[in-house]
Amino acid sequence: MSVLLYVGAALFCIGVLGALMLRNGVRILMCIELMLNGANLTFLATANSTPEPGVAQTMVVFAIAVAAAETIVGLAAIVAMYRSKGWVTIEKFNLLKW
Amino acid sequence: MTELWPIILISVPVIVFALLTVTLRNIMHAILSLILCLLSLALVYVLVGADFIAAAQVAIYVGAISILILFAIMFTRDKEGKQLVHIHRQYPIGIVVALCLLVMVSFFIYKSDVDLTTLETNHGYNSVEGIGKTMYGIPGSGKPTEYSIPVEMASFMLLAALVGGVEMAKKKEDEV
Amino acid sequence: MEPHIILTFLILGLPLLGFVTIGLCGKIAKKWAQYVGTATIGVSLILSFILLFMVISRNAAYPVTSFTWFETGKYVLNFGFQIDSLAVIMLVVVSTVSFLVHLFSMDYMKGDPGIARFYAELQLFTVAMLGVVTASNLLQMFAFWELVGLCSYLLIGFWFHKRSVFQAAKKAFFVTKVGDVFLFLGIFAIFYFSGTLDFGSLTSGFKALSETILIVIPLCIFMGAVGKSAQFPLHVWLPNAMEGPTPVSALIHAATMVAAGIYLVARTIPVFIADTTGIALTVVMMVGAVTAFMGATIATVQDDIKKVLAYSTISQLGYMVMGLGAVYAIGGNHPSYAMFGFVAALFHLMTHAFFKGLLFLGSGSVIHATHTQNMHEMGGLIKKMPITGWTFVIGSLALAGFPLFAGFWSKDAIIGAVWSNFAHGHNTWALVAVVLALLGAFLTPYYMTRCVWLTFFGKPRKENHAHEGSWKTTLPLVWLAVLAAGVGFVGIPFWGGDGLIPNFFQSFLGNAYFKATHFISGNATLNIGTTLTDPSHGYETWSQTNPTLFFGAIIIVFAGILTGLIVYVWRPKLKVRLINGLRPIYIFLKNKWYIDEAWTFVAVKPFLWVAEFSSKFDAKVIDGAVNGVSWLTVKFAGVVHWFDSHIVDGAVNGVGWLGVKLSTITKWFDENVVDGLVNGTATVFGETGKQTRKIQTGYLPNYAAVMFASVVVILLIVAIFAL
Repeated sequence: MSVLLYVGAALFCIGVLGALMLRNGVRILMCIELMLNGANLTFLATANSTPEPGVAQTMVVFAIAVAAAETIVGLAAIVAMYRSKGWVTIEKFNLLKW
Repeated sequence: MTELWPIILISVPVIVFALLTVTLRNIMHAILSLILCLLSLALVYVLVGADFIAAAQVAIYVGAISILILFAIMFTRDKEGKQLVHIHRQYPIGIVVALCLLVMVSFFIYKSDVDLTTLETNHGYNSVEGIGKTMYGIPGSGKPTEYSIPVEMASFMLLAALVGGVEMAKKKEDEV
Repeated sequence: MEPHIILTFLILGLPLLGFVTIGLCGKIAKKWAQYVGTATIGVSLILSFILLFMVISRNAAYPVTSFTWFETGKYVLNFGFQIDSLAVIMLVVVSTVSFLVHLFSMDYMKGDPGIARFYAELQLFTVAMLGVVTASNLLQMFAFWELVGLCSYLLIGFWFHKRSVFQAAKKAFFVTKVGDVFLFLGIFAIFYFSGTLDFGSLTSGFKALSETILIVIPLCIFMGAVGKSAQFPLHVWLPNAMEGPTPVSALIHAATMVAAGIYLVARTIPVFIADTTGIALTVVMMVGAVTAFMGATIATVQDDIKKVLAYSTISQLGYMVMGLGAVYAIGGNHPSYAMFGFVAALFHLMTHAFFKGLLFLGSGSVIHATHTQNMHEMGGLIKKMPITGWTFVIGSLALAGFPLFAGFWSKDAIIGAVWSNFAHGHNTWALVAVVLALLGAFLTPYYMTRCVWLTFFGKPRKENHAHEGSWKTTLPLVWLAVLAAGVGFVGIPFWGGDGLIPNFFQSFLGNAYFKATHFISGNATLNIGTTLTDPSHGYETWSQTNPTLFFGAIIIVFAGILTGLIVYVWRPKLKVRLINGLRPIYIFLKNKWYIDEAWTFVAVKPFLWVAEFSSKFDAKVIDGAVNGVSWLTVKFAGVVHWFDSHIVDGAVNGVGWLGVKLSTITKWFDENVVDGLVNGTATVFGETGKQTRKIQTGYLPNYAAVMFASVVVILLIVAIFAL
């Protein structure tokens, strides 16, 4: 059944790939959702072989809650970014530059 | 013991739609494939016996978060015109890093020898009741569980995120 | 609720109330902020004294009262107050100094536009410090500990418009954070092994641990103290912290906050004793000894009056740490512990708080009157400011260890404790520590004589219109002078019978404290307390101190004062000859042992190399991507070129680089000597900042890529080493 673990890993890495190569801020957030789902899948895949499957599921519930919060804040940041600049192309943001 | 082949069968669209999410140029197509990816993932959850999570997946991810992202996309149409290239110039780094990560994680999974063959769908634990008991404790016992603090923190964090999101995204009065 | 808990709540709550009131309405009411602040601390001071007498009359600690803070699963974290002799002594010391500093600041900060903010921050600091000393578990203490650090940061950076000021504040914050990280690791370890953080049962899970872990845990805790109490090599922040207002230096960076590290080690001393090899305590002792010696040597060449006092503070904190390290164990399975060093360290903490607070307030009074901090621009002030002058002299005598003044008793107690560690604990390192301590004890009166003479005596070297401040300035000085002169008598060793009879301070602190808190509860696991609860045992160590040492210390003090007088008063020409004759040493001291430079080399330079490398790498990758197909070629060429220019040339250039570096360093020192000013720190930090920021390309995907690449690297390391 460890095929599910590989699927989870693949989902996560596809998310990483997208987050590292896409330009649009919203799409990067979508990729982060993919990564979170990969982690969730790994949790659930291993759940039944742990003594307490309920714990893994609880973790996934927490992860979904965190994902929701993260999406809210991330999208709000992107919308605010758009308000002030007029674009959401992530590579144009160089406020962190010295 | 659940059969293996349905899980593999449903894993294929998961991976394919995930890849499409990342690679499609049109952002609307991308969000559609993300929704499909998440839906097929919910099916996988059903197959491993996590019914409640599957329902939550559909309700929260497919229902709420996707719509939120959809709205965000519509709010943030690029004023400089359509983007011709959806990936940036340093994309080779991304590919290399993601591949390395995949290799490393797969190596660890391969090495770890996890035996997941006993995929009993234990509904006693996986039911909503089981999750609730894990998170909040047995009703009436008055004893908090290990997770009562995280539960409180998660709810508090959601509230904070909500307030923060409203504050960040709302129009400032001077820039109406 | 029991009366002592109500009192504790009031003592902490009143300044907190003051902080909230001033913080919320300070802008409206700049005028009354100072009165509210001083009043709340005044009441807290009175209540602290009441609590002190309650504990004295009870002759034992109160049982710890705790409330459940939160519980999760099987772990319960409490929030409570531990009112024992150690806590009440600290309470009284902190609230006394804090009250006097509040009073003093009324004059000193008069007319400052930020006076309300100043008082609000002072109040918050006082709450935090009182919280540190009354906390009943490590986590609670750590919370207040960080709050104290925050207030220190805010108050150092009080005049944040000046560049050097906020840099000093940042430096203080970051350097102490280095220690705090280790402290937090130590707290984690204790919680992991013992399952509790209550001070009474810290070591409850230590029985099965290996020796190495038992050494590492106390050293982690000690690192927190090293950062906070400015011990070698993390002392570099304290001299810079003198950029803050002088009353702040008196309260935070001399009397109370820097002593929090000593208090931490004292509170967690069972963790240190649990290390039966004694290595941890020896490390503590040696760090203290080196710090004591180093601080004293550097203080002899400083020109800024506050810097002299700052290095003197570092030195004195070194003495306290050395005293704590002198707690020792004899034997294996049934150890008996010499608590003498413990008592001596806390005794010195108390006396030092008073006389160093006095000295700083005195220097503040002088700076306020003359508008300069350079001692060479002062002189002859004793006639213009007699009260400040004479109280400063009293403080200096106390610091120098002049017989009968407070510092004399406490410093000798520490040296005696270290000596008994050598003589009866058979620890050879203790002999080194004693020698360093005695050298420091010689240098202390020397630099204080220099400081007093340059500031208050001789002819005025510069025109000024100095005059004494109002009663708000002089009252704290007189008050502290009385304490600096007299407080030592609570801890004097009387002779009698076959040895020294215990004094009040020791029986109050030592017995009540050891009996009530650690050693009964720690008993179960480590055999601690079997001997210590026997009251006669603690006394034994007094007779183990060496009377020869006692008189030797007096002679050393007089020798130091005499040397100071000879060099600065009677034979001024000797000074020039000394400086010329001992030029290498002089330069070494002027540059503060090159410790700032060493930190630059160890911590900052490697970072710069990485930055340089990655900025080159970055440039090449970007070029390559733009060039599309030729990317690989360019990359390859770049690598070859890089290899050629860095590895091949690098080997050749390396030698040259070293030479150039050496010569630039030498040049830099030369310039410093010529100028006679040692303010290179700011320059060094500015330059490193300029170089370091090149690593920040601002290109967001780069940051993410670096993050995930690091994950890959970590996984690789794990795969190689752990599988």
